[in-house]
Amino acid sequence: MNVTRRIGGPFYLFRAYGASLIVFFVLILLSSTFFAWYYTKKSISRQAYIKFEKAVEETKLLIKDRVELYIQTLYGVQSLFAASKTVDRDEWAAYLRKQNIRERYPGIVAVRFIERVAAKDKTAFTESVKNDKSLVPSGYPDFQIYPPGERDEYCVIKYVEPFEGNEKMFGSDILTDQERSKFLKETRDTGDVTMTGRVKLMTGQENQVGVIIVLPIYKNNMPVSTMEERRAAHEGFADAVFRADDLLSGVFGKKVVHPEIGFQVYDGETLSPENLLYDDESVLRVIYPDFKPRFSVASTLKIGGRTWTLRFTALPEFGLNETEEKLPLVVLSVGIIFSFLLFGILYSFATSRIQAVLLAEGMTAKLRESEHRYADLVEGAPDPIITLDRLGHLKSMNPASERVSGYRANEMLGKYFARTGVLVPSSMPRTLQEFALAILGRERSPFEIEIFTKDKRKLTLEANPRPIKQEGKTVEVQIIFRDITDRKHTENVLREFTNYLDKIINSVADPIFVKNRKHRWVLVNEAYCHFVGYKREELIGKSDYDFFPKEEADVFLEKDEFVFETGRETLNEEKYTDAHGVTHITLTKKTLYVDTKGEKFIVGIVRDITELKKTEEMIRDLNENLKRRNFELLTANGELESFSYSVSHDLRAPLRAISGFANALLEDCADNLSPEGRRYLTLIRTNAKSMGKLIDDLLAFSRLGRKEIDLSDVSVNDLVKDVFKDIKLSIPERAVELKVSQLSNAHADSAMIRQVFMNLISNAVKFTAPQKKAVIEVGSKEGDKETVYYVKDNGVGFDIRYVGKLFGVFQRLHGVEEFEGTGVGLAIVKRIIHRHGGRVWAEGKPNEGAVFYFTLPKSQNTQGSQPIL
Amino acid sequence: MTDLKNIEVLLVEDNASDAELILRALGKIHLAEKVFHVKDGAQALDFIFARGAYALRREQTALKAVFLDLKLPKIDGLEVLRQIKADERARMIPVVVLTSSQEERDVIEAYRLGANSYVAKPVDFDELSKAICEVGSYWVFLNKSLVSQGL
Repeated sequence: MNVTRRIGGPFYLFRAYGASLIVFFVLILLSSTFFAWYYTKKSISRQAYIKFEKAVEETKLLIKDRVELYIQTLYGVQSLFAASKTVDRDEWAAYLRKQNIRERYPGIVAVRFIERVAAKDKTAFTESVKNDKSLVPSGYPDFQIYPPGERDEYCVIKYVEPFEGNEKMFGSDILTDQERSKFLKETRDTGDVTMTGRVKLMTGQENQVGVIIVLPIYKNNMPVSTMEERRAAHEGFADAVFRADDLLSGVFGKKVVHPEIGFQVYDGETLSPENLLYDDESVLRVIYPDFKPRFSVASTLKIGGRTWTLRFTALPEFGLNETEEKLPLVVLSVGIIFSFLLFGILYSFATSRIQAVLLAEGMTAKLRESEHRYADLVEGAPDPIITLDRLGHLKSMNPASERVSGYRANEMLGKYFARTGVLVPSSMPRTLQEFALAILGRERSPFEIEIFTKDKRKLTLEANPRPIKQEGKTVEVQIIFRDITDRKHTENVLREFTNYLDKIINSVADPIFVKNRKHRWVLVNEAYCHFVGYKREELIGKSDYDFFPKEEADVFLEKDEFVFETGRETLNEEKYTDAHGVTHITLTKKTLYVDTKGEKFIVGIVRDITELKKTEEMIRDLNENLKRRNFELLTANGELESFSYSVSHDLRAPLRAISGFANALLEDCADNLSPEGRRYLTLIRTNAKSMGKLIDDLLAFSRLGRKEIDLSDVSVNDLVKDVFKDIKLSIPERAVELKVSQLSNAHADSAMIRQVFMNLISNAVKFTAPQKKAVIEVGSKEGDKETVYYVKDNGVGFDIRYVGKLFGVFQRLHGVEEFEGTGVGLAIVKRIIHRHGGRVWAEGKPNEGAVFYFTLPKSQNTQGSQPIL
Repeated sequence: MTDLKNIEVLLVEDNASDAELILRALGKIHLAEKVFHVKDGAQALDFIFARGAYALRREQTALKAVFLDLKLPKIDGLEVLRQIKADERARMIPVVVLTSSQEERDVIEAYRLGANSYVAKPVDFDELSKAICEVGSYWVFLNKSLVSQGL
């Protein structure tokens, strides 16, 4: 490691310090050089342009001057005409030859006088020219106006100077050219000197173009101030024909002022070939086909009533002087050379610095390494780490900070952290406070903040601030964050779930507790607190011995231990004495719970069964009572049975003896008895018999109480008819009518109901005996819950006052002599109906018959199925 | 009561008056001398099975009928009936229950044990007399018994 470091060291340090510094300086120098070069170049270029512009202006002026000079020549011609009435050919030639125009005015093809000739004067004019011998002795015999033909008016070229080479023009009528004619007329009307556009010259040479400058000539003695006057005074024109090439190349003549400028002249403002008057670049373009001028400019020139467009071009040879032109290059080369020189110097300086650094390295290696490692750690840390300066400006943030917050370092660094909008406002005060304390140099413990990420998600972070000190003074605060959003979420979910569980546990009516291995409560629900009568705060962390009597606590402990040891669930009946001293009996279920850490707990669910126990005991008591009572009842019943059995057997035997021996006495000793004595014996027998009947009825009545009711559906209709048939058999002598309406069926003991009807109908039969014709009516009426049956007769009836006695045992409302019977029949009816859960009653009046009613319940739940004593 | 050889009916009756009245009634149809009267169940069984005081009685002498009261001292009538009907030979003897009881359970139990007839003694002597005479003449004269077959 150390070896590697020594080898790699210088380069590393060079890269770290020297190289960047040197490259930095050299780059600055180089860029300044380039800037200097650029500006120099630009300034030189500007100077050249100014020079070009100046040359252009000068050239333009020269052109103008030249053309105006030419125009001046024509004015001279005009004044020639003005000076004399007529200008003869010799005068004309003399004047112009004196001017030496060919020499002085290069490009002039001809100066001419054109005379206006009216149609009538044509011949005279022709003749006068033919005969003009002022200049040439022979005159001009061949002269004629052409083109030939007769016209209203002619403008004929009369004088041409120089004549040689321009003979063709002589005699030409320039009005025949329509365009020229119009132009001339305008010139005549305005009186001004004018110039034609580009015209083809009639010099006989191909592609000769030029311009003609024209001036009107008026008669001397005539006014020319208005157009009409000028027309009247019009005599002709003087003009000058120029070959454009000659005119303009002649601008500079032999004295070339600006040979580095080329120019083209166009007639008018359109730069098209058909308007081109002059082009001194044409040659150049043949030499340099790809030539692109450094500068070029177009400029108009008003001259002779026309507009020319001049296009100037800087020719390749155009430029400033050599020194000036080379200045940028000089600047550039000097700069570059200087830069490299500096690089060399700095490099050697850096390398020597590296040597020095190498020496110092041993001392600072450890520090550097740790710093390096520290920087690496911060860079590579999974948690966001930022540093703030003393004023709270963000000094650094590691990649994790960028990742978590979504902000890039370059948009955050240097900002005051509280105003970045990242912090959620509610987290602001705490953060500022913690920052202030950190600045004061205090080590701080972690705290929670909330932030907004760039995409507006809310995150919860744990912030861990740490002052960074230099020489005992806090210079920066480093804050390490941890994203605990998920943890918080989990915590919240858990808390919610715990609350939910708490609510459930607390809403359970049974007391619930949880104890740890040391038998101390860790959880109790509200029902438990209420049950034992202590508050939760009192209970938590305490054990049974702190609240309950020792003997109770011992039991709890033993049961707890059993569950802890075996892990088996137990269900025990326990005793609890609560805070008010009340002892409860409980059924406690204890279960072992082992948490994820392996810690054991007892979960107990208590059910207070005190009340249940009491009730249980009460029921047991009641049951005991009932059993005893039942036993007593059974005993009594048994006794009664043996009693009635005895009665049945033994009570009748004496009666039989009485009756039997009375009979024996009557049979055997009748002779010894008086009639009275015999009657007495008969009475004894009769009474004994009736007592026997009494006993039989009584026994029957008693039997009825003990007999089980056997319910079935009974057709009362059939039953009543059957009963009546039986009764009818025993009283063949009686006239009894039975009226039976459709009777409702009954759900009852068939034999018993038969007994009821037997008794009631027998009664009716019995008590209707005095009637000649007995009418017995049996009917029924169905109600909601019961059916009412009745037996009605037209017998002796009874006094309603004694109705209470009717259904009593052995109760009779009539004497035995009147109506026989023991008085048990209705008592039996009443007992049977009561045992069926029905009612009995009777209505009647003495001698108006009686009605006996009874009801039977419609449903099956008849009462009195148990024996009634 | 004299010669056991002539006895055709055994009357088991603890009540002396009843016994006298029954015998009086039977006398009217000349049956009284053929009736042997015992006063309790034990005696009745001894007589029927010829043991104890009646060991000398010829066992083979078959009875034409036993008139049996139910409410008896020592061994009651139903037990006597049970033992008679449990015995292979004695069960041939017709047993007429002659009692004051009109209790249903007595009637049912008597028939269940094999009683040949059940007659409730009426209180009125005329009725009693009539009933006894009918029962007596039926079982002794009318009914074809094993005795009359000479067995």
